[in-house]
Amino acid sequence: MVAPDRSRLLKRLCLAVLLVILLAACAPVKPPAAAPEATAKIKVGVQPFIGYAPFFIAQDAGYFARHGIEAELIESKSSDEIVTQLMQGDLDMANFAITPGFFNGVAKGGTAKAVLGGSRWDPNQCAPSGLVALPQQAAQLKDPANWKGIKIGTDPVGLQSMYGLFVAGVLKQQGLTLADIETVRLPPAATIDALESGAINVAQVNEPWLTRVKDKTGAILVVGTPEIAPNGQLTMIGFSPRLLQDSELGKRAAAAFLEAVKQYGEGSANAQNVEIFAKYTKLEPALVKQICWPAMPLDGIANLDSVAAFQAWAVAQGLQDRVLEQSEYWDGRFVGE
Amino acid sequence: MAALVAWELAARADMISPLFFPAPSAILATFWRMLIRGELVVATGYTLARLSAGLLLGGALGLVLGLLMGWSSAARALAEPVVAAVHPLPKLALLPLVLILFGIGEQSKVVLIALTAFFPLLINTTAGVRQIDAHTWEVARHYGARGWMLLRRVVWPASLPLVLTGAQLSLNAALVVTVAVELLSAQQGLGATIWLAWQTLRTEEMYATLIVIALVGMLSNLVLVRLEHRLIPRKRKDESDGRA
Repeated sequence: MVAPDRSRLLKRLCLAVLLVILLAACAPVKPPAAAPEATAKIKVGVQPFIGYAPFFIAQDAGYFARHGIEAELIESKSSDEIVTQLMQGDLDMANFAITPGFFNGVAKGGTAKAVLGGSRWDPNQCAPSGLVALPQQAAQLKDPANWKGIKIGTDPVGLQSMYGLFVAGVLKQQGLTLADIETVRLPPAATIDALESGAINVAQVNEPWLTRVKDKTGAILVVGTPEIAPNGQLTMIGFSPRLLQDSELGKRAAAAFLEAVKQYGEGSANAQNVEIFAKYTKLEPALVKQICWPAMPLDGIANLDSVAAFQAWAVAQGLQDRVLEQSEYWDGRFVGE
Repeated sequence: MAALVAWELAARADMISPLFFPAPSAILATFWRMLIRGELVVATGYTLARLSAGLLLGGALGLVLGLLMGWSSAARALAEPVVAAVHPLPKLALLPLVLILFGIGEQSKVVLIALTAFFPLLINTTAGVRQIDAHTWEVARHYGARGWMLLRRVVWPASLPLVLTGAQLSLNAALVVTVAVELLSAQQGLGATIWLAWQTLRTEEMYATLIVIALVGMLSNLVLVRLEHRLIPRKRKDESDGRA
């Protein structure tokens, strides 16, 4: 038996609970407060070159942190190494040079994909790379006949990247092909001596070596990359299978990168950019201010026509097995607005 | 063999990435294709030419200086500090300097290979001469052996086993550096082929070229062992008796 007082109390309690439930049901529906993004760790592949500056900026200016990302910057020795590390999942995100290795790897089942555009040869901006020669040699090269048989020094990577397409384009203007010249792979530091000693006639160099070589030897830019391949896409940003699958994290990483690209776009006019890039590359701040900062798309959209042209060239050179469809190597979900 | 079969099965079953660890059958097929096309033959030719030139240059200098350092305490006192300082330097680290001194052509590559081949032969030859006991020297001199005669009849035969060991060490070290130099700065050769295969992610070609390098190493060592047996017949007998 329940005592009458207790029974009344129970009824009142039930009524109160019912009222609360009704009130709650009638209350306007509000979206739940956005849960703070959990910090996620990602591994980012970098090299001490200007094309990687947005990663350094994203790290030091706090763009990664703002998107709840704790990025570990891992220095790689070459872009080829970065491609294999992306495909193996040892890196989550990286900037890599467009090379046959990437496309051959994807064709053989490598699961990394390009998601954003990196450095581009903008014809309306300074040339971040090109062919340089000493003034006397440069004067001789005004005559197309003098291009045949010349020795071109390249960096140790050689001409397997967009630089191969660029040099082939320069030679095509002279009615020649790569078979008509000799290429010599050189450590960048040996380029200056090789030019001065006449061991090479022309050097294919990128920043900061372009500025260094010009300053040290008085060499001049014979032809810049944007002249031959305007808007040529030199690099792309790749995601590992992990970031491709975890698209929410991938979008955060891409957003952080694109915000950093916006700051990068201010170039050396932004003192923080100079300070950050000098810190990661150990270059003199004066040199960092002097060099040409290559263009990068603010929306992250890569020039895929240029990528297709590169693939066709690489296949013709026997460096790549086949031309890949865009959907095979590119995932457009991560580009900005 | 069991490991190869396991590798083949794992690659076919996609248990390992065929991109980085292609099946041995795919590697062998690539090896055959590269051989038929002549790619491997040309690349091996370049590598062997550089290796031979470096070995001849570095080996000959190492041998002569080694004999001198073993024979003469004055020469040893003069050269030993330099040898002790330069020998431990990783020879590849000298590449930028060698490029500046000898230019970017074949000369710089051969110099670096020669430098690598030089030290093992120098050190072993010095040790070979120094291990000749005082009694042997004394007897030889007592019988009137001097100069060339002493070198030919006493020093050379007595130091030969260690000289040949030095030659084997020189060969192996020189092969490693030859491939490494080609990886870094050559357009032709086995090292350059590996580099291109790596750059284009044609890993089957990389493994196929590694097979050739292994074969070059094995065959060169075999030639040296044969040479050793011919020059030192007693060593062959010792080995067959199980004493060496």
